[in-house]
Amino acid sequence: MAQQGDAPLVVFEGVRKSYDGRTDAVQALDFAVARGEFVTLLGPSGSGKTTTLMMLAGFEDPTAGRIVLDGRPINDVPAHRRGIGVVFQNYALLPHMTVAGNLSFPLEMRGVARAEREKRVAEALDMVRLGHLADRRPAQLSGGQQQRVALARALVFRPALVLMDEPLGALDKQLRERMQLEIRRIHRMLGVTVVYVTHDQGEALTMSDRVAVFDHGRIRQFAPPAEVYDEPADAFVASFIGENNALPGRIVARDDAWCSMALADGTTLRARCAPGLAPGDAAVLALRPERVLVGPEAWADNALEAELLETVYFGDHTRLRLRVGGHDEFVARLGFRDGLARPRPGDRIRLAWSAACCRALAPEPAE
Amino acid sequence: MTAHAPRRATPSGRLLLNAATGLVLLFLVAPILVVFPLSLSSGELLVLPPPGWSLRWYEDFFTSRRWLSATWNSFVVGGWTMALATTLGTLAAIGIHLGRFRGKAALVAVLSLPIVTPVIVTAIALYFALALVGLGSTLTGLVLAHTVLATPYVLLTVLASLQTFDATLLRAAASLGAGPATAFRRVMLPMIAPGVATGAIFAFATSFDELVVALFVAGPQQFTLPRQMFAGLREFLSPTIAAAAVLLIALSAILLALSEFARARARARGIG
Repeated sequence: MAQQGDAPLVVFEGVRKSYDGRTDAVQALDFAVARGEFVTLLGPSGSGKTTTLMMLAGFEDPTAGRIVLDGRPINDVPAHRRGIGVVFQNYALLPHMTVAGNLSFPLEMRGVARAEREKRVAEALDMVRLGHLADRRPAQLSGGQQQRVALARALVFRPALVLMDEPLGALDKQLRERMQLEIRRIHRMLGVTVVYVTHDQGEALTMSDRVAVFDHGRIRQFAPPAEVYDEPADAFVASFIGENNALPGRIVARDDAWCSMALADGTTLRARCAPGLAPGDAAVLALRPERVLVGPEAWADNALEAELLETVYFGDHTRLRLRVGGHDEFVARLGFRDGLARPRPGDRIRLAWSAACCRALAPEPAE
Repeated sequence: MTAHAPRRATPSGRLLLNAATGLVLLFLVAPILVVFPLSLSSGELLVLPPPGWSLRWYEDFFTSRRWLSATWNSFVVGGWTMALATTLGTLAAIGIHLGRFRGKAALVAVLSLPIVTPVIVTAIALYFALALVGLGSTLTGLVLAHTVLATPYVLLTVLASLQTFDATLLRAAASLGAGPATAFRRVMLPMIAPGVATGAIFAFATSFDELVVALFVAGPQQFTLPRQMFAGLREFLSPTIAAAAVLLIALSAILLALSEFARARARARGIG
């Protein structure tokens, strides 16, 4: 994987893209992707993640900045000379060719001899377990099979880098989860570098080595999944990934990485503090529902009683909606516990959570 | 061929529908059918019913230098027109479909003008334009004139077939290492081939049937089949004209069958 040293495979240097010359679809991107890494670009639609991928693939030209692949600037290299594998959202299989013909095409373009081509097409089809469908046309395949052909086609010419643009978006949930495992297996097996675009945060967390969270053409945070989830850099990341309680309030005191925060009704809580916040600043307390302990014996450095407003039964857990700090949308999860009475709306319930589990973040500017 | 009967039609209703359909078909086809008995007449005059039956007028057609040279001219002019119009029309359609610019609809409208402009107007304009550049009464001039008339048909049929072409496929081809020329040849062309073929057939037929422009632009050396028939009607009215007409109809039928064949084949391959 790292034969060519530790230099990153992909580097974006101040890359900007504007379609209309006024607003930026992507503003000043700076990031690097290491060899063999699985990086996911995650964000809502229109956040610039797909534009970023298209610039890397060579289908869009950056308005400014430099893209470096394997130590070589590629701004002026046309897409067909970049040697990057691409899996498209709608698969983009060539409908007039068979499955084998689709896989053979990139090898023909590279002047690979016929016997070698046939061998590598067969290998690639075996890799995605579709050897028996080599002579079918794409229209005769199911969505999942087409997806796997697209994957095999992007890998058959052994590119160092493969880009995937929401490749599982069109599949149903079960198939999507199977394909996630399949893609991870192939990534580990081949050691290929993958840049993956999705708006599905679950997919981003389960598949990636690192996740770049996009919003309005900027990367808000670029970190391993656990860090993005547990230590969101800002209120947008906290709310976009996973379920999150966002309690508005004000910083009361700060000591290094920790702070005390007062909510609207005067409740004071301890939290880890994002850099740049000072006493007196408005802040948002970000807290995952599953980090909240519920019940009479719940104890931690933040503890309070709250009124239960609503319960929703989910089978493996019950979702509680409570009023905390004058805020009606506080959510906690009650896991299965033997012999415990199920709480009812109107009950006063004891909640507790560790200060290490919650973060005070700068509030998002209003749009 | 019968029309698709509505599922809940009563027997009498269906009979009425079939009768009406038959009458309309007869109305459309009968005038054309008249030339068949005329061409097989043994007499010298264009009268119905013919006094007897013979193939003498076909023999006359295939032995007359004038008719054969007109037929040859028609094929030469039709062939060149087809080649030029297909190339120009296909390139224009691709440019309009893939290009990123404003005013596409207006551009298509302007390029389609020869279809809606009265042919006589186009013919007069071409007559002066070609004379101006010294191409009046030449085969080249006639080919250029017919190309003007035929290109819009190619443009429109290829544009229609491009509607179902997914431009992502060109990106896919590029990501697999195909340069623009290869991507066009290996990916786009096979998928729009039915449209291009239909356009080419239309272009050939447009030129092959064309009379008005030929009247203005063609000199006696460049008489095409329709021009020769027109001359025949005025100068030496003979059933040979009917024989020529039958041959033209036969050729049109073959062209129609060809374009249907191209469409059916494309459907069988799952494209277009």
